[in-house]
Amino acid sequence: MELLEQILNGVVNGCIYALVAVGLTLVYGILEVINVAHGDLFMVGAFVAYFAYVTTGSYVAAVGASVVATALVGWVMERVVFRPLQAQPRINSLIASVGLSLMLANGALILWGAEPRFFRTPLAATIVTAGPFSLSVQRGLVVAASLALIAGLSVFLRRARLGKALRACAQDLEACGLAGIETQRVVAFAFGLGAALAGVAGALLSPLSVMTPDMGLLAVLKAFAVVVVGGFGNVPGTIAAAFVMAIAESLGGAFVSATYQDSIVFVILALALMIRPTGLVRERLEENI
Amino acid sequence: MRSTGVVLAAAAFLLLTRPGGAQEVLKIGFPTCLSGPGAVYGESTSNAVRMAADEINAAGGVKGARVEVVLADGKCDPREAALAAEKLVINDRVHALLGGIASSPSLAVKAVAEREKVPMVEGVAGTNALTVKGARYVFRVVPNMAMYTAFSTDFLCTRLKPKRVAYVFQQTDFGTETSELSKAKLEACGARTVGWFPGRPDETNFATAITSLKAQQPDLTFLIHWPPAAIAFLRQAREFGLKSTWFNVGSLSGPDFTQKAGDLAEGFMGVNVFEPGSTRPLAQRFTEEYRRRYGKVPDWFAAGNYVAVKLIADAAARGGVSRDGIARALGETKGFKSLLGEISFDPTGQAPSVFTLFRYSGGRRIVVTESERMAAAAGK
Amino acid sequence: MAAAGLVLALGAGPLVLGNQYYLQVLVNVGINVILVLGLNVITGMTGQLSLCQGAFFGLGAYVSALGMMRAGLSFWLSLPLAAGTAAAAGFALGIPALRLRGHYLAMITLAFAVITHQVLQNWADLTRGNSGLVGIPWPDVVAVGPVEVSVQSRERYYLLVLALVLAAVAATAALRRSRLGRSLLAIREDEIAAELMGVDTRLCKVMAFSLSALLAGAAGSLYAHYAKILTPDLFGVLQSIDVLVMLVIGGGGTIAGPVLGAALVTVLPEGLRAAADYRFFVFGGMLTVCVLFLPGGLAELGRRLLPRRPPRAEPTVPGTGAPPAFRPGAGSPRAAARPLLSVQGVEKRFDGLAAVRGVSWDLATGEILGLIGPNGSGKTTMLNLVSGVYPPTRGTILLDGRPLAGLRPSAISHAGVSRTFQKIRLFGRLSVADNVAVALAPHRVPPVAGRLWRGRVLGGDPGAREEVRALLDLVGLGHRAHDEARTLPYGDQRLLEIARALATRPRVLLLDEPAAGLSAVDVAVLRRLLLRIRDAGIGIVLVEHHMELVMHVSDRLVVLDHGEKIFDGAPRKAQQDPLVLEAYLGVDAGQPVTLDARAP
Repeated sequence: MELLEQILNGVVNGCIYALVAVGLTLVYGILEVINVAHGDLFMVGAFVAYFAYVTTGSYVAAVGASVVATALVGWVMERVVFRPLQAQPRINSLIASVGLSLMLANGALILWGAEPRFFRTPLAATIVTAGPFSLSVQRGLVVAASLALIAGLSVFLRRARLGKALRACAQDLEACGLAGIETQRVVAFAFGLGAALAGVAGALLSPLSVMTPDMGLLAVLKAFAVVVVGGFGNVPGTIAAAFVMAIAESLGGAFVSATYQDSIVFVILALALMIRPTGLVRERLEENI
Repeated sequence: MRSTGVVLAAAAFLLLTRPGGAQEVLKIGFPTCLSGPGAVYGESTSNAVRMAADEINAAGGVKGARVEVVLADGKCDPREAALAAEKLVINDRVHALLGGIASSPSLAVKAVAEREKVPMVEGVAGTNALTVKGARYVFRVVPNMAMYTAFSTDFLCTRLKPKRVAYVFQQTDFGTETSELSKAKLEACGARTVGWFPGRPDETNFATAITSLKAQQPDLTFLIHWPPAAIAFLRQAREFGLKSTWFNVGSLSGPDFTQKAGDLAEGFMGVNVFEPGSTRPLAQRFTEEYRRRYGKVPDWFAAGNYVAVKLIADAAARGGVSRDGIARALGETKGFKSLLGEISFDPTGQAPSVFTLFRYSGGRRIVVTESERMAAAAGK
Repeated sequence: MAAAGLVLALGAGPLVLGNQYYLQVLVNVGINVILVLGLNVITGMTGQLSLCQGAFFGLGAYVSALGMMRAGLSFWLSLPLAAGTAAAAGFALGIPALRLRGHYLAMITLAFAVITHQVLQNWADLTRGNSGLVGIPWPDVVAVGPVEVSVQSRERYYLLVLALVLAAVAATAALRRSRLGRSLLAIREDEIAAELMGVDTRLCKVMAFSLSALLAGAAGSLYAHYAKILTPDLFGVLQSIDVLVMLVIGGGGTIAGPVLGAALVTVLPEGLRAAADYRFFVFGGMLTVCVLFLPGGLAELGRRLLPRRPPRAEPTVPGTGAPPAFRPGAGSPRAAARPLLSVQGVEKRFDGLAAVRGVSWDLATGEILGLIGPNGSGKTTMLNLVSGVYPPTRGTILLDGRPLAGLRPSAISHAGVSRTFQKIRLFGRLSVADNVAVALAPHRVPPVAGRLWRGRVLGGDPGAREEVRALLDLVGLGHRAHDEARTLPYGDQRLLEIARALATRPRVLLLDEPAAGLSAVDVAVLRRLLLRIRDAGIGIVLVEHHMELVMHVSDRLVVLDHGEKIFDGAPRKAQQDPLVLEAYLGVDAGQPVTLDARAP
């Protein structure tokens, strides 16, 4: 019984990790850029949703606002910082993203203060009981919305023109350009999409717990772990990894060590890197000599 | 004539600007929590110490010397508190320090105080390690953890008699010490420990712990966290359908918690040393004055530091406005009357104390019992 | 002289000023300088992004503090213990971690940083976790002969920090001048080329990582006994990022860079003391702007503003310099009993697709073997197999009878196989001379000692300089010895690659399209060079598309098509061989057509 509930906890967390990690891996797949500021998009999504909710009283509007806001921020980041750095060694993009992350997190700190905030929505307060199980509607919404988004994303990547362009560019950006696809627009779109996913995750999760300006850090660290295990640029692998690792974390915290629960994801990451550096799905590593 | 005038003017000038002719200032440094997860304690404590200083100054100061409280942001973090204390001691040259509110930062402040030989009076933190044998500069006007647990477990063992007890706490001196001491005492009176969950002070996700506890069904759960984490825990507990009697020592009796927790705190029991509803006359005066000035009801963190400031001023009056003088005088304090009772320090720098046990009911704190009554009932 | 004056000023200044505040700032600057110099070794010099410098810092801090407080050690033991523990951790982590590259390495160091932070936080019995380790003492007084050394005041501690900073700076400077340092820089520029030029990249990277950790550990100890209180949050991911910020802003790879970066990043927030929140915001902005507009950091800014004039050597006529000491293989050219290089039945499959299939050929001492074939026939794969870039799926490769299977590329290089690349792989930002120096075989000292022994690792070797000079003169680049390799014109870059390959004193030289893009004049120079190399007894495998060159220079020709050998024999015969013609021109096997030797 407890086992089942802990697995359920893991599933809920897995949804959030998946949403955040997929955005990260989409961007990497195309640009080969690791964006450390991605976690702060998660935070921005949460805060924008909070303020939008306080102003309008509508949770739907709040989520919508956070999607728009984070997509915008993502787009700006790509345009102003990552695009000029495309020609340079990738480490520079990584470092620039660190700079962006510092600005976002501390900008939020300056604007909104360090005090933890509680995002109270009626959905979070409404609790549904089914036998021994008890969940708030919000938690159920997290799972439902995440699964819907993930399903939608898969369909989009496989069927829609833009989605296929995205996948093509992730395979070979240069060839894509030569095939006549406007790569810059695809790249910008990928950034915006990834950012929006992270923002939605923030908006969905924050009513369940506390919001602080530095909540992005742990989120992005875990998302990295998920992306590495699942494979950079590999969307299905990342999603699978997200759930596997979240459930492992939940079970590990419950039955192995409550104290070191936060380390579990990173231990898995370290092991994965030692054993199979390319992630759950194999990838060709040969360099072109 | 002119030269005499000049001489007179010069003399007057010299007299007026002679060192010592300017008013002396008794500076008290306070590395309080102005930001960070413990920021809720910053406002009330700052208010209280300012009020104390104003009251002393209005009554003529300390033998003519003005009292000034200098605030610094210790963030309820050991390192920040140490830095803040150092700044106060070295840059601002304070004559005495107040504590860092939470136990861990206060220990850090203590290290600075002892190194720089500055007297320190703690008004909140409970860790046993603060007042130990041989500490010449550190004094505490509120109880230590041993005293807290003695009182609360006394009550629990005689009145509530819990059978299954769980501990959800922050892994700091405050959280760990309270939990370990309570666990020892409660196990001694027949309770079984069914849950042990240390966490970060800024913890926000308790899903794993709550799910485990649901399976264990504790009838009493110690929740030793600061308000943000505690509230997150309570919300999630309600969400998951975990029910238990919540118990806290010291950290969750501010107005902030009452406001933010709302009905989540229903039935919550806690221990502190002062309640606005107290019947002790000095306490009542303090509550009224605080309410008049700041429009709010004070909490016990405010009360503790208020007393600390008053005590330091008293010590300065006895021993002189200097670090050594104050330190000496503090050690010799006997029967200082305060809203926390009469203060005398034992050789470790600890004062005896009074306790209040309260319960949240209908959004307010109701006093369940006070230590004097319990002592009377036990015939002590 | 200027340096000595600066040191004196730094030493005396704060003591004269007597301002506690400045002292504190300077001590923090000094500790950060050591931290950043450490990161500089692995990230700035070796080009491997490490995100766990903060973890080593924390490790050192706690080891030193606990060493004094719990184990009762003297500070003068705790400090080296802290540095040593951190170095050991770096070594242990480095061995598995440095097999990874780029982002993967960054990720695993990040994981290490997070895990270390969690352990420091949760192992409260040892470290006191979030409660903080309080009351860390000053260093103890120790007697050195008749003198008592006491570092128990802020002023004296500052002098201690200053001394260690100077030591770290000196050590870094020595490292840069040493063979190890050059190898690290080469790894940064092109790791694969470095490995193939005989640098044991794995060992070098691990050593660099350990050195970084060592410096961080020492800095940690200095910090602990100054701040006197430690909390785990000081040593999390943010701290590692902080160090990276200092390195990037200052400019990685140099010595001035880390110092400037650490100083600036430490001092600036002191001005914004009251608004500590803005500090990180400003730095975030600085970092982003810096990367966008000034990737070399402040050091690069300094370089641009104050150009140095490199020493210029006299020009020499190409190809007439004194020949370097070629040590040819055993016996005289072309007289060996068995082939120098023997490829037997070699096959290479990539994901099931065969790039090379059942190919065998031999190379004799002092022979030039032309290896030609249409695009995609497997020529470069062949060279990669011989030089050890990847192992063959089947078959063996023997060098002088000794199998090369399973050897690392650097080991194969030491055994006597060297090469150039289809796409030029020079160490761009290193000087022309350094490019050659990196590849110099440590022939004066046995290999292991040669890597570790101070005299060869850290010292300059005059014999080496002469050898580099001779090699450069051989290819006619002596006059550009101190220029950056990437500033050379294309043709000269190809020649430099050959000079570099020769520095390893190979017995077999593999050349991958050395004439590509060369003008007719340059090709003639190349031709004369190849003949000289052959005459010195070195076997050459020449992959080329330049038919005239191949025909004139090769003693023998091997033709590949679709991964299989279709011809092995005299170059003239190849011109008439029907299979060869079909492969190149797609002509019917029945029609003999002379392959025009002058066709492109």
